[in-house]
Amino acid sequence: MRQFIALLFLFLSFLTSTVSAETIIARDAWIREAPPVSRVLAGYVELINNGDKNVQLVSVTSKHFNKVELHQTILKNGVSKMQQQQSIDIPAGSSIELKPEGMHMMLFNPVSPLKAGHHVQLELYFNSKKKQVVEFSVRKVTGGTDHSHHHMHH
Amino acid sequence: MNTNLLNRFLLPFLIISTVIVGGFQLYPLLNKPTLDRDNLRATVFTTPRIIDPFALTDHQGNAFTESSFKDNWSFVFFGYTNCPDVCPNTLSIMNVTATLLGKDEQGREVPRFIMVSVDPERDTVEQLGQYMPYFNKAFIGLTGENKQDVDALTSQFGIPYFLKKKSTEDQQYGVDHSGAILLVNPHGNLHALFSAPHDAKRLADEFTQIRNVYEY
Repeated sequence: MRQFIALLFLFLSFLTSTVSAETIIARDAWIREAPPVSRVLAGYVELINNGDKNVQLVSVTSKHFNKVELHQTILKNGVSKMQQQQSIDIPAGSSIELKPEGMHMMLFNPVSPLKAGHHVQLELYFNSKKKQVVEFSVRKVTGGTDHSHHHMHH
Repeated sequence: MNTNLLNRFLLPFLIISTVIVGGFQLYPLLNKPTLDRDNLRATVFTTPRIIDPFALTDHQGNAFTESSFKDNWSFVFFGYTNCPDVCPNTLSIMNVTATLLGKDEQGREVPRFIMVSVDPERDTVEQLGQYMPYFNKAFIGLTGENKQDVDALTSQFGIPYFLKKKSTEDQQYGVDHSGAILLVNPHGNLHALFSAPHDAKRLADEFTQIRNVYEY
């Protein structure tokens, strides 16, 4: 029995290590619901790179949108600018968070109206030529995602 | 003898009573709340600025001019409806601020929350009419016939914005714009400026301080 458990642990640790070494883990993938008249939405996700190589997110596609671009919101001299990014770096052993007023996916012209509770798949392409399908859930956020919101939970 | 009595009793009495009575009268004046500007994120103008004439239309099709600002405080943000990140985030923050200010135990009116479109070409009255109530039914959207209408307000509020059109046909362009929220007082004068990034509770707290000093 003990041998079996030991083997099981060994097997599990092997399994998890191989998975994390090869893939990027996508966590908390969501799209901000918007009034249907808004033709551009934003997608957010945390991408965790447990591997030992730097990875770049190079493009995103989805049949639910006319076009997907990577953007970063930069606040410079009081002006919010959206700058298109050719890629997003996810350093080895690190993670990057796409979040409101930061890095985000710009989702153009949803083919059908997206409502809170809907789930849509986006294909994320990395420089390692790997494609990863990530399910994003649509959320309604009218309560703000500012700092005070976070403090309420601490 | 008479002069001596006056000097020894009456004069000190008069001086002391003047000081006491005067002190009571001065007390409220000295006690007038002042803004702790060092601890404010907001920039409060020492002299509120008069707003020159402009003519815009709200999301329900009503005219909105400089005199529409009167009789209530207004938070004014500049954005556009095809803005995926900053505008919905700021409107959501303003919605929390509105909720926080709605709990005013003194029963004061909740200020107006306004988004002025810097993209009047795409943001028609109908477009704004379907956009604004999503965030809060009381929020007001303003747009103009053209860029000149909008510039009449942005220029005097010091709001830079830039349409990133790749061509004249481009309909998917983004707009870089100021992230500031401006505060207009019930006299219709520009009173303060909140720079981005914003925080709902901070906006509510600082607004309350500003209003208390103004209304004292």
